[in-house]
Amino acid sequence: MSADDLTEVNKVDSTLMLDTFTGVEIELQVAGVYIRGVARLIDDVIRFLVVSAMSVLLIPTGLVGIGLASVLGFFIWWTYNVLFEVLNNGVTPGKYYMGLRAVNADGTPIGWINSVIRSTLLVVDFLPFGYLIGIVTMALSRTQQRIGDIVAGTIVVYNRSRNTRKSADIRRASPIPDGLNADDQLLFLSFQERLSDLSPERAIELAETLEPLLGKNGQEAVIEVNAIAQGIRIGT
Amino acid sequence: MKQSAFESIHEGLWNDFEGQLVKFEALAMRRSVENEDREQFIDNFELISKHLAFAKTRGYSLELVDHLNQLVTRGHFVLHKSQANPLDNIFEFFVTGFAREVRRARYFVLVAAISFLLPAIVIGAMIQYSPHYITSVLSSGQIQQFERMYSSTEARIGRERSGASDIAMFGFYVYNNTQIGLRAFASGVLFCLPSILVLGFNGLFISAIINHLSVIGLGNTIFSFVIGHSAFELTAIVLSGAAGIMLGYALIHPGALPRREAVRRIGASAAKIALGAALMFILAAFIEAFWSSLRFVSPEIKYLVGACFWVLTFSYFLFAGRNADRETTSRT
Repeated sequence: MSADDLTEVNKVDSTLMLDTFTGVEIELQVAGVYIRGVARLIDDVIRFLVVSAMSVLLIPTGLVGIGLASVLGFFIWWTYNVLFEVLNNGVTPGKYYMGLRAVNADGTPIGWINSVIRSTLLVVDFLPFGYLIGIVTMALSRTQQRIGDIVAGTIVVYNRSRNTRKSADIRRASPIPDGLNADDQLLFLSFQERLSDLSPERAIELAETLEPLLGKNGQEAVIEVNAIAQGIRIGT
Repeated sequence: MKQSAFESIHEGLWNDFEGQLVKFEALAMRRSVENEDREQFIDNFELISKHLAFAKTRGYSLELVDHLNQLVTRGHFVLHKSQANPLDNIFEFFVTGFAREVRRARYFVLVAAISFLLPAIVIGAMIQYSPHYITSVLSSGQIQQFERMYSSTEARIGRERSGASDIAMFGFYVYNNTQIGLRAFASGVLFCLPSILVLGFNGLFISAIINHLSVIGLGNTIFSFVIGHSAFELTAIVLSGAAGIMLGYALIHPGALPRREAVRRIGASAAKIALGAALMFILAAFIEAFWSSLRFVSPEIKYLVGACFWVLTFSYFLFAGRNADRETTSRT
């Protein structure tokens, strides 16, 4: 893989770079169609079950119950997303299970109006059936926005708040060779990630391309590249 | 500096900051955070932003960069949580904000009103000229149903059977009408057409039913029934449609902006109008269920009250927050 190939990879990357007021850039990982679809499904099932359960309980109590069920059902159905998004840091139950968070496109919390927009426009994203418009719009958008997101100026990102640092095995790590920039380091890491999918011959072939740098051949080269990747991962 | 030295110096700060993050994320509003806590938090945020920049430029491990990136991202989010009390905003919105938003969108409201009124006037004139035109809009079954609803001698007007209680009808009106309004707004993003169609069809059906009933001699019943809630309900339909047309228009004619930016900029105004309209629908549902349907109130009183509602609605949208409008224009 050459540097040019890596640029191509970046073009379809889900990483979004944002500026903060301290001047440092932060990276957000935008969530894609599948994972957001599952979150949406969970939320819709919850909404549906709550409204149904309430109707089943209230309607047999008579005409007042029917009235209450309609009013409450209406409010639950239309405010479910808004209340969770605004009062729970952009995290609905579905998004919580999938580890997602809805935020403004500048990484700030969603306010009432933007949440109302993206939630109300779900009815458009749903058309003609099964959120088809939303899926197509997301696929066409680099920041994976459905129509409601575009109008509200919001995105859905991965909500990672767990510290996963230093979980890697330090014993098998090698020091990082001098002069590797961040892109080069990423190549090492992607090699390590893909190692289990590669045939042993192909892994050796790839690792041996670094012979001028590492001076190793065969299986030894694979082990060395893997160890350097480990070093990059945990810092040596 | 070696990464391990860097980490051992700052690890404590990072852990403290993470603890603060968890605390602040749990708060619904930033105002509940003590001031000295906030200052401490901002100081830490600025320090850790620097650490992230160092970690990137010094080529520290991706895991460390990732961890610091998470801390800064979460800090950035928490620091921008709204400090305002939403109740203040809501109050302000209903006193003046809603009316000002509608006035600012007056051309869209005009287009929506025409989309609603034109089919209404045409079908109304046709039915008054020759009553059989009603069959081009409604089936004979529907016509009979409406005739039954308004000719019966039940204690409530506008209901087919006596069984339907006021609160059940209120529930139905809220659920049905408000939903139509919200859909008319949202679907407008598909290049205006769905909003215009919703407006046109509503104008057509409402006018057809009212004109038909008045032609067959139920005019007094139907007019005294609809006059009460019509001020809020008809205005709300037109405003919902107008909000939808705003979204679609921004896509059709984005001007100098990219389409997504144009629609985003108009989105907040349109949503505020649609929200205000949704509340008008609920108000109308309340009046329709508990006031308009009362048969023992004489039609004269209903006309009087209904006329007051219309005057109130128009005065609100024409005059509420006028002074604030003037201040904004003189400033720009």
